[in-house]
Amino acid sequence: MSEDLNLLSASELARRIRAGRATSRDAVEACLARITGWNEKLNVFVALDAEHARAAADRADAQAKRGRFNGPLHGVPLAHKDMYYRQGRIATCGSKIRRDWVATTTATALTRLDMAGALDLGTLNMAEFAFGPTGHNWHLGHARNAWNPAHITGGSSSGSATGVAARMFFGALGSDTGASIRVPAHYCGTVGIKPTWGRVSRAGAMPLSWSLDTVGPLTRTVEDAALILGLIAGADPADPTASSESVPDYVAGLARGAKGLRIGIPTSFFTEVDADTKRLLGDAERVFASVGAEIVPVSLPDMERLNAFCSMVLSAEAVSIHREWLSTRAAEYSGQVRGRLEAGLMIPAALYLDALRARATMLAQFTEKVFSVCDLMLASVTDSAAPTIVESEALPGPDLGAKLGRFTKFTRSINYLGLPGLTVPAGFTAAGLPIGFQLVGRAFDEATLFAAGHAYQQATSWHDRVPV
Amino acid sequence: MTTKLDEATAQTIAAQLGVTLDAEAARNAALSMAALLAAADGHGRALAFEAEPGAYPAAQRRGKR
Repeated sequence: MSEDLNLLSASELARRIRAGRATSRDAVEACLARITGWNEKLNVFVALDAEHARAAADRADAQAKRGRFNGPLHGVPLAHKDMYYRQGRIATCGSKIRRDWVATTTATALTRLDMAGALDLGTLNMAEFAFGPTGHNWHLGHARNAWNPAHITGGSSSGSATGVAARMFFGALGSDTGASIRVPAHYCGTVGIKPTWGRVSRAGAMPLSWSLDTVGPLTRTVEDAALILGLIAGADPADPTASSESVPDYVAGLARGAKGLRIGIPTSFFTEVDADTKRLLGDAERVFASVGAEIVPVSLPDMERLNAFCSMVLSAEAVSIHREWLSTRAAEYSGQVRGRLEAGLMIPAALYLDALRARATMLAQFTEKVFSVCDLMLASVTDSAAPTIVESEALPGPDLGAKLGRFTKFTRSINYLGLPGLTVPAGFTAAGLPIGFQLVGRAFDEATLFAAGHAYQQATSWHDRVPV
Repeated sequence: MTTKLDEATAQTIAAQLGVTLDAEAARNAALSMAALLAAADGHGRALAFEAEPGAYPAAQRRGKR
């Protein structure tokens, strides 16, 4: 067994397994060793199935010896947010209400990863019903940031982000309705892709807001994100909202690089950040310029309006999904989630429908204003590195929405527009906490984000740092 | 908003939907939503008469590269 396997990307591990230079069993044992050392501190796993993973790894290695490979992730250990259903397995969705609920179907995203040869180590901590941007969870215990356990992971894909950062597995599915892949990736120093709405099937994934929910991976590298998204994207008869747009070969597209790309830097809104964030995003601009991108200023439409519409859609759809439990099992919600759901009851139908009616117009205006001057936008993910768990705890009260809204200020408008966003690690604060940036592109143009993000990672080494 | 969202109104709205809010929960729900509802109302009133929800997928396709 080699501890060094922990340091590899999923793509590199897959290449080594295919070449006979690593075994899946060694990779699983390396993960389990890392989990033993870190899980207690970070509270990443809801359920770990070590023996199942070992047996699956042995089967994968036996197949490899015979020259048979199930797919591009043959033998690579992953783990996923505990809201992706696997038939016969409990999916708590981070909640008390579903603590014993056994899934009767398997999520399309999991099925596609299974078919690609990936192993599944178990289920990961998350915000209750994916309805929280910080990573607090009053039922399962808060997930903790791998770079400093006193700090939040971000949410709702909390275990996915901090577990990838801690090298406990080689990648993880998260979900993103307002921030939930990009913000945890930013706070934990990982890559995370929130794809275009409709790019990935949501069949078998717990819903929060059907107009906004997206499925995507958190990974160590952009190459890994490109690989995994390419495997899970595409039409699905089980999800009529999954788009039939063709899925490009994202990995092959990485070679395109960033040369000649016009990268837009917002002149407002995303600029309201602390000094560390400003410094590291400035550094990122210079890296992109050094690899041949053209940096251009870009003015934005009214982002607060987009945020307001997003909050309207999210709150209304979430309470629609939860209303039955809210009327019969309200005491089983945490105070924060219950308070947010109850606030959603106050939304008049006309205002919810206004927000949906405006969506096409807002997307057309944003696309015209932003993507007429640049190919993608480079922006901050939040206004700072991860705050502490204590200082970011938001309890029920009249200012609950405002307190939590701070964490999604720079991300939820992108969900409303349905555009893809890629978080990439951009460096560290003096206190050792990671900060990332997000690249935002046109609908269904994840390939450009991956090409740019990969070029950035070829020129930097932030993604190689490992928490100790 | 022309309708004032206060504690009693919040309780009434929730009750219509089968959810019981105590006074504090109703007050929190009303206050935490007040600013958002006002903002969304203003933005919503500015919408074109013809805008309709089903237009979004077509806008997505038009907006791609």
